[in-house]
Amino acid sequence: MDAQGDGARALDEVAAPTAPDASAAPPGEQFLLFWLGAWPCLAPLAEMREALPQAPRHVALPFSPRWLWGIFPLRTDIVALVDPVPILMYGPDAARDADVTRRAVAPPAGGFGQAEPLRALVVGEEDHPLALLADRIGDIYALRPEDQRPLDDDDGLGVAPLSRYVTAGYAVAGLERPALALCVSRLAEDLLAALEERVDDE
Amino acid sequence: MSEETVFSRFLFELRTLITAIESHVVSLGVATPEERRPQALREMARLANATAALAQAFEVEDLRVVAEALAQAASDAVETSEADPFAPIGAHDALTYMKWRIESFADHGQAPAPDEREWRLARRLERALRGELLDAAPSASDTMTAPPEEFAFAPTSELTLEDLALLQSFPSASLRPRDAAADARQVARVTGAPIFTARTESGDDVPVYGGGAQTSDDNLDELPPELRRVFTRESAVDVRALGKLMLEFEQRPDATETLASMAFIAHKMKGAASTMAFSGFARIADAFEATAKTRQSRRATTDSVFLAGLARFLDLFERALAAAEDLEEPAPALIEEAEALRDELTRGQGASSLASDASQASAPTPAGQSASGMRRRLSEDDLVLRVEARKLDTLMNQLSALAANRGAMARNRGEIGRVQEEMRETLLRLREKSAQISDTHPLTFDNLFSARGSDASGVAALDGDPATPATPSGALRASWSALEMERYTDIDSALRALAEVVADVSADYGVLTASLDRLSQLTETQEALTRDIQEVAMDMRLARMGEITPRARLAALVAAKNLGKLADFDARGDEIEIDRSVLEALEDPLIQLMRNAVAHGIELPLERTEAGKPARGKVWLHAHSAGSSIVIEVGDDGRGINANLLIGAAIGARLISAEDARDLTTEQALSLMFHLGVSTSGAASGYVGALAGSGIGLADVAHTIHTLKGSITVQSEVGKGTTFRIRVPVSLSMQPVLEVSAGGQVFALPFNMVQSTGIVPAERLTERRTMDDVRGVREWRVLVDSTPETTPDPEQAAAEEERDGAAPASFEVPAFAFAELLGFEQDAEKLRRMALVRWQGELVALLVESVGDADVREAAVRPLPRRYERRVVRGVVVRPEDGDVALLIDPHEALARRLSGGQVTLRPAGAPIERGAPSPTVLIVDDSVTIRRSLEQMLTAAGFATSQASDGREALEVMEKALPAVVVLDVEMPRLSGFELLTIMRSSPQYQQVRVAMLTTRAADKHRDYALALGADAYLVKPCPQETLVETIRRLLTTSEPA
Repeated sequence: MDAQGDGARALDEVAAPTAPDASAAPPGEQFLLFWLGAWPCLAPLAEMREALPQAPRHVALPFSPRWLWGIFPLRTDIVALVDPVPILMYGPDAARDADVTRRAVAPPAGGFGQAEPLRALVVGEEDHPLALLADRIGDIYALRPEDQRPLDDDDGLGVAPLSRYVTAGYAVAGLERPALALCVSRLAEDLLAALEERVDDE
Repeated sequence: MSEETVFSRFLFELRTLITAIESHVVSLGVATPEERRPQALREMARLANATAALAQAFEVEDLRVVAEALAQAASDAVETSEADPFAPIGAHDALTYMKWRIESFADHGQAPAPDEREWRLARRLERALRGELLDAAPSASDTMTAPPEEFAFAPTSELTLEDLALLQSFPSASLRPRDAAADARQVARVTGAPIFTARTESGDDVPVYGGGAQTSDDNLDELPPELRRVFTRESAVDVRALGKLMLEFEQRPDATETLASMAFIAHKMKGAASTMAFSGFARIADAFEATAKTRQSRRATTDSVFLAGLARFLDLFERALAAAEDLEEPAPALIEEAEALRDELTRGQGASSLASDASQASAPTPAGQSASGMRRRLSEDDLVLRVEARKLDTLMNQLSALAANRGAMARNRGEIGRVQEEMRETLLRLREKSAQISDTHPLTFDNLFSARGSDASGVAALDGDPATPATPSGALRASWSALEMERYTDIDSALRALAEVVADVSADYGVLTASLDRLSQLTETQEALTRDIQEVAMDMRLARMGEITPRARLAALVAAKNLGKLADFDARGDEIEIDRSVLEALEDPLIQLMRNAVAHGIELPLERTEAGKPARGKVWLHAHSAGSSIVIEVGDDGRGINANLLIGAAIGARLISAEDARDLTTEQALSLMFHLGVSTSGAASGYVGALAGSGIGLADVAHTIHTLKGSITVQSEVGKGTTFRIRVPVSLSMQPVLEVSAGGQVFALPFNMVQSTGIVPAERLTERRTMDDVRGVREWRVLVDSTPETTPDPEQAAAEEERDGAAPASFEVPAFAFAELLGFEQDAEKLRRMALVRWQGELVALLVESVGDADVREAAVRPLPRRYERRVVRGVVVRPEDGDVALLIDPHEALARRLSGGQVTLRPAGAPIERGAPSPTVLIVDDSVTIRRSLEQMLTAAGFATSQASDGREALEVMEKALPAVVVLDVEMPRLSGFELLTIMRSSPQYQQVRVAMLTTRAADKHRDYALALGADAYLVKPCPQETLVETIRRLLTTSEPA
């Protein structure tokens, strides 16, 4: 395991990705560390499109579930700002429930009462971008198979829907528990499908 | 109406129906997109059923039989996936037969019953259409599977050779325009008025415009020049398409679909040419069509010879087109050459000359010839680039993003400006303080020495060595005058350094200010350029109304000609510009309305003269600008629409209750015609015309206009005429909007939907109720001042003013929190403004927190990606001041969505209608999925709920779960037949109340009697007209007697 720089630099690198220097890059797949609620999560850097240092100004869409915060312009795209926590907690079917909110199911990363601004990670295919709200964004890590750690219910696997998206757990320096490597593309697919379903309902 | 006129009408109707059916058959074979096939097939079935009904009314049994079978075949074909579903089942033969019969009516001046051979053929056609011949064992005359070449007109027919020979023996299989002309002259004799008569040399079934026995040249003079320009433009495109298809043929000479496409294009050109009275051009097209059609079934020449012939045809088309551009017919030699070419290519005659062409290795390819021909005609001035609308939309989106970026830049520039101003003030303060300090610490020699003492120690200190003892040099210095050398203290040095810093900062400030000024200028220039580019991009999307006027004129003239009516067409506002996508979407609805105006509106000349009107009617297409919208009127001075008949039809179709109907205004009653299921032809005008009904319906028209964010209204007076008024935005991508704030968020409203805005004093706002059926929506009443914009009913206001001596100062209107209509929370304390909109004829106040300070502005509207679409949201607009977006809300949709089920009975035009009471359920039991779906569609359209079962046993399972009101029951089904199910039902108490209507192909009395004896309430024979089925079910629901 090898950390690269601080969080601000990580943001910069994700925001303006450049071709990695093969000779300097440490071995292992690169992941971005971020927090969803109190869960430390890892997402393959290849699945990230952009990291926004703060949740963008957005407009709420009428007749939308509460996990869909709204939409905002990102250059020529109109992008949805989505809170993935309810879906991680309750599964894709939770998307049908308009009243599921993140705070009802997971405390913020810094604990209740900590008013840290939320960040956003832009993921998804070129034609289907999606911005996921994140409580905090950490560094980029190059992780190897030997960095993997077994997970148990206390690490998050006790939440069945969450385990649908977890591919592995990794030991990350400074963290008391393993960080959950998420299949972000599957998460984005589920969220987009839920949005499509909302349109059909509407 | 005299008997002669009735017969003339009968012929017109039949010809029109058959022409429309044939166009569907042809286009289904080669040109109908997959997604439109079901609609086209259903439309064709409807037309065939109308033909059958007409034939039945005039007691022409053979026509009825064939037409009904054709209707059934079309319905069944909805489920098939073949490119040409009619090729194997004899639809083409059926059309040939029907056309021949119709023309024989014209020859006889009456509709005689079929003779023996006609009956026999009609019956076989019926069987072929029903697919029975496909399964039948071959008879002696069926032994040859492929017909000989002389029957090439029906290459895939399932008829026997004997049948084909019989068909071939008929003198003509085309609807003869000569007879249409005779019919038209007959009408002319009655009315004494000049009319358009039919004349063509191509002898085909195309509408003809012209002057009866007049010469071709006379007709050309009568034609409006813009129509001929349309023809030449369209034909140039068609000829180019032919060239492309010829290239495809060269690559794949065995692909019959290429030949079919060529034939279709030629057929289309032939029709257009005949309509434009370019009979010579039409003959060339006819020759080409025959060539391409024949080639599909028979190879009379080698591929290379045939290709050489096609190339020569292309050249003939080019030359004919060049002549048409000069309003001239092609030279007779060209026509003769085309017909000789046809003979060569279809019969192999004279193949040697083409073979010579084909053998020339250097012979130009068809495409080459086509291209050279095009180049000859295309000058630089005419050069038009076709750009996909999608690319223009992308450009507009990017410009919107640029505008958003510009807004963000402007915002940052504003912040920099504020810092710059603070910096300037800081600098001024710095200078001031620096000056004050300098004033309090003047630099003087005495001060220097008084500060350091009277000896030279101070000087020594300035030299850097304060501890230096007095020296001879010090003594010398002591003798210097105070003016001979400046001396500074630390403070003085600091002051001096400060002064230098102030000077440096001042200089930098000056440079910064100049740079920022330049940056501002550049930004402004960029803003102007961006705006210019946006305007240019907008212009690229704009088109003139006049582009569709010729087609509308043509539709009116052709409809008038085909129906024996006389009508003058008037167009205004051709110069009005409108977004091309809007115009293109409007084109078909406008053409349809124009056809309706002639077909349903304008009366026959005799009727008009009897009613004291001029024999020649008027139809018009007028357009004018209205701010950011365009208003288009399609009208006629015909018979008008009887609103009471419409209301009756709507009640019959359960669209509206009789109680609600009493409260309808005339305008609301007329708007019923835009809803599905209400027939305008039957109820409104008593006129059934296939021509006008062959395209999209009024419900589709209203839906299209609603999709364009527009509105459609209708005004009509019986005996005076009808006018449809359409209002659509000029552009969907740029719209004037009004910004409002509600629920803590900024929204945009289409400005043209807002009547006015105003302040809402708390004392004027009274909460009335929270609607029980709509969670979270409160309703208030608010007092509104009476103004021209807000007066709900100007006529009533005028009456009250006359009665009371003064107009009412204010009145109450219903009010809703705008945010709550959108599902958001709203703090009522913050509601201080309102936007008034008119919805369903009533004024409604939308309560908001604030109305934008900025004036109404043109905003770039971007559509929402599909997954974020909401009916209430028209799109997003970019706010230039901050680059943020705001949702553009359709207030009518917001009101309709949240208040449906409330007190309002009518929905906006084009919106789906929700029925209040639950619909009775009809269980359809039939083993044919096609029949089930067809019946489901039919019954759903009539307002019933449906369930389905594929046999008697499944029907029992369905009825276990939910008992239907009526069962529509087939007889022959697997597992449990209809008779068996009926027996079970009538012996089981739980099914006693369920009415049963048998629907079967078994037409014999013994089957009917048996079913009724078992307890059936009605017995219907397939194919059963929709009206009969619906009427029967309604009767079963309302009475206990058998239907």
